[in-house]
Amino acid sequence: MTASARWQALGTSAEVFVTDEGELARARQVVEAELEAIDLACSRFRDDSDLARVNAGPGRWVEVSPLFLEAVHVALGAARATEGDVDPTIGRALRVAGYDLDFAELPALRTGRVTFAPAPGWRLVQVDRARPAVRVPRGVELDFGATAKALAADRAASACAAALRGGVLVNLGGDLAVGGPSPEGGWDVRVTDDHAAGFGSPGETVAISCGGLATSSVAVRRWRNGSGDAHHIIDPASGHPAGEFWRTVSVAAANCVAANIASTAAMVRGAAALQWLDSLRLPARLVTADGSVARVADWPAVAA
Amino acid sequence: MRAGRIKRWLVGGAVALAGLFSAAVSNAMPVDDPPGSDAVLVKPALGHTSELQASLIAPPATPPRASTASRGAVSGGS
Repeated sequence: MTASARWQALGTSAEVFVTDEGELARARQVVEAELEAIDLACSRFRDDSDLARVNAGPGRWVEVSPLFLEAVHVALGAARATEGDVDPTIGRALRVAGYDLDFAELPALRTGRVTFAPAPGWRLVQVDRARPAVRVPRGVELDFGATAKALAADRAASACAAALRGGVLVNLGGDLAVGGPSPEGGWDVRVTDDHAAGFGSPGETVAISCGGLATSSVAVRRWRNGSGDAHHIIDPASGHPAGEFWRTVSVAAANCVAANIASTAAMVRGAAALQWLDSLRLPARLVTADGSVARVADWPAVAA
Repeated sequence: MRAGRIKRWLVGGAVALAGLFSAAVSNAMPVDDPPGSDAVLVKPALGHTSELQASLIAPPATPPRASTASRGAVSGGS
């Protein structure tokens, strides 16, 4: 019998499931500590975060925490592996598009003219691993929205597995990571458009026993600006919100970071994502804007 | 005389554009490392995108399987 706890964190929901009910309180403590650490390192919406300090000091080296260094490494690796489709230098593009506050504080309609510009490019980010320190040129602003939450899920799941009896499933706003042994049959997961919509919402249910699972969707975090509808998934090549060929993409991978990189890149790549995901043998479920569903690699058919 | 004036405009314009381009590049490119720094540009250890993809974006050891459960976690956009 599994047990779970759920609370609000990082502007979304956090949830931890355990196979040993007696470990639930400790599991929550471990996850909360990890979330506090990742928020202090990578939040775009608090002035004292490493990321905010780097963005506020273009052209000079800014000393950062080891966790921020890890997050930079993950973000730049994601950019390289996706040939720039998931690029951490979209910070300015997000801000210009109107996503300049924590989403809970964001008004539904942003007024004023919007000028889109391509992301400057991840190759401009410099890292001094020894200090550690990071430097970005003027005009470059970092955003780790595509990788930091997934990194936190992976780290929290690993930390729980190391510290607790039994297994855990960590769920940060729909980014899932498995740690330790799974319950018999795996962890049941409803895959849908909105992580907050509840288990009964339209979608499919699968069970995972290892690694991570992440979903990206343009059905959530939407607002209007002076140029029309906007959402939080930016195409770095143009600086515009990505096209909406896919409404929602879910990917299972070896860990949550990998799953989130792939699901985000798939949203940006549009129709070409099918072949790309298949070439990587990543089980994925993709839903078009009109609701058609495509399954890739070993993503299972709906259970009878 | 008029041709000379046009030529001067063209030359002046070219110089101005070159200056603007230089300024833009100096803002867009990485600045020099400080003397004595061991700073390095991040270069992933693997040379090819396909190799990096295979290592960084790897599939799960066991793929998901279909389930008929009525409760559990929810994965969706956030």
